[in-house]
Amino acid sequence: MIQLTSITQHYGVRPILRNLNLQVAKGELLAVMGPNGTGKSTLLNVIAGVLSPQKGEVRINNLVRRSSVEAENSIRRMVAFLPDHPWLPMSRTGREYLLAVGSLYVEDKDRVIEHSERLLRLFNLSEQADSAITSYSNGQKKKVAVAGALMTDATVFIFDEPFTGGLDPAGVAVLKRLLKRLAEREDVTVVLATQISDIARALANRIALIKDGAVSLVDTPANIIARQQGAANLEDAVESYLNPEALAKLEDYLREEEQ
Amino acid sequence: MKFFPFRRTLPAPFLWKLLLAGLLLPSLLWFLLMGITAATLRDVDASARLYALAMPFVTICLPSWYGVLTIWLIAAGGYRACAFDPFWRSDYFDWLAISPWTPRKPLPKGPTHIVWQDALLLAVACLAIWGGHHVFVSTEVGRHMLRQNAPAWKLCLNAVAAFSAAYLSVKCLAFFCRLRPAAYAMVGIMLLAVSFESVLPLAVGMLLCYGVAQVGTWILLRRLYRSNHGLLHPPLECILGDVIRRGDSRVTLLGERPAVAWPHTMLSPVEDKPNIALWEGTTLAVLAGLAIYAICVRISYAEQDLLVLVSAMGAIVAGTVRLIVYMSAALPPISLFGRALTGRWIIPRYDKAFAPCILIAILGAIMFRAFEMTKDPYELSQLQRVCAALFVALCVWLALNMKPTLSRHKLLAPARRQPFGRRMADTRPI
Repeated sequence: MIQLTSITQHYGVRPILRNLNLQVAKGELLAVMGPNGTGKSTLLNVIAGVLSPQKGEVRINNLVRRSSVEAENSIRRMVAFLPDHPWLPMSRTGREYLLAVGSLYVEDKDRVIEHSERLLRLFNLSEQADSAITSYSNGQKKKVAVAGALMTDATVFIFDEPFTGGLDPAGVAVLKRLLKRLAEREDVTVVLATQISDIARALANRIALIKDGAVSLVDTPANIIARQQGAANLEDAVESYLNPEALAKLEDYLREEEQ
Repeated sequence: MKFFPFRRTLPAPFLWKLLLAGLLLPSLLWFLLMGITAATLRDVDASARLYALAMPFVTICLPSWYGVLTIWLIAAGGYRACAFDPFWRSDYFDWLAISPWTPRKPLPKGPTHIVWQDALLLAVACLAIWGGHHVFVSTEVGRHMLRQNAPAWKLCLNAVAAFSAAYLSVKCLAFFCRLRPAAYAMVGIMLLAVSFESVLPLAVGMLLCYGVAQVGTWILLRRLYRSNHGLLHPPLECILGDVIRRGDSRVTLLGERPAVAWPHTMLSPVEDKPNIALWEGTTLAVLAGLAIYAICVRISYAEQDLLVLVSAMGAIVAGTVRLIVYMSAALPPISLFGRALTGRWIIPRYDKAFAPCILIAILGAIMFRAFEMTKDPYELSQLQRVCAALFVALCVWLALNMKPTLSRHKLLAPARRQPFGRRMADTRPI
């Protein structure tokens, strides 16, 4: 379970998250959606421990982040974070990277080797596995980064825009299925930031809509659509909830263009 | 069986290598040569001695062939220490690790200890010096510096010292990566020996260092032998060490500190060991104190201010190193730039890590005041030297050992984590 209480995060004097409260149940997949610059990535960074919020606390499985060395290390053992732009060691091979990540999180070395092989096969990276990451395409780099996160066998996954960054349709399909599988597991909690409403609808148990640095709505995809009268799908429902003037602005623009 | 986690000669991060190679080696060489030069030229007048202290490679100013010979002997000593040692040659180490070699057998490439061929080399060098002795004393530079004929045996001793210093320094450098207690022991012995300012303690010190070096080498070779056994086990067991061999493809896993990428470097669940253990911090503090004392011994009463300068420099270095290391992962507004931008120079929750730096500054002020009060223009007392050494030792101890430790600070500091690995991980050796 992830519990965020009164989280306030500033960058300099610019407030990003304002007194944010959020709770993600164990075994749940929560999709975080919202317009650009509203604090989705910041929120995920706070949960992952990259940022230490100016106020509030992050509680993961009843352990408070940065409260003690033991708690922090325990949390790290159970959390895997994939940032939007993950950095990769360019001079290392994909296989080396996966083995190194796996050896950090998993005690069973047999499992590390076997798991890395399976992930490389899954993402069609077997041929490039022993080449330096620098020679990979953008999509292949993203695949290696995703595979690295999956190598951890963590019970809490935090993915920031995993479907962007040049993933091919096969990669997207694989990742969707993997996330679906993770969502079905009762011991795995996933927090996923995405702008693609189809993916959110297909995968998420609930969706958190972020607006002006706070969670303005948390509900199931079906309920969000039902709340917005006239919304045909989740995309319309989210858009009309977060940015009700957007459609009117579009109509105005098109009308002006025609004139 | 435990598989010892070393395979490469220098597993330390790139910066450590640079630091060790750039600072430690020359400084140890400098201390050794300074000591031997000061000791051998003890009977010459003050100005020549002072020149010799400032310029330990004083022999370079002597006839060119003598300088060239000294440099050549230094190179030979360094080469002798690393050329046949598997810990400096990873390909040799790899080959040895899968061979049936045991510590009881001689090393295939040659011995790492001093043998009669080395003595022969030194004897030839000494003979050359002895034979060319007249050339030396007849030069103007030599006359000006020493104002008298230096006995040939002292020059020979200097040449032998150059070879030994280089040999021991390279050994010491290897131990800093692999067997730190041995390295600390060697530095400690040499600093003590240099503090006495005469030939006998230096000779004894060098012999003791040589003994420590040989015991250290033996311990390391035994570990290599054990790691050899590790490789006989199924490959998966060797992953603990850092090598996996599967068929003809070899995959290298990273050692104790895996060079994995962000965010795994900074959010790694593997608990950071304290970068410097209490015993190590204390040892380094004692060594720093000894080094300051060895320098202070050579400061005459006419240059008392130099003593304050030397001890102040020691304290400043200790405080600054802590400041840099603890600040290195900080981003605005915690970083220096961020503080300048926001005008918030003190951030209490974060800045408690810098308490030792403030303590060092206060101690420095007290020490300076005490020195001013006890200053005697005609004499530099032993007490003042000891106090300067103790002051620096205390500052280094505070900087290295005072809480919060770096690993704790990284885990709990209320700051944004910087992906330091972005800069470092890719340069680390596998």
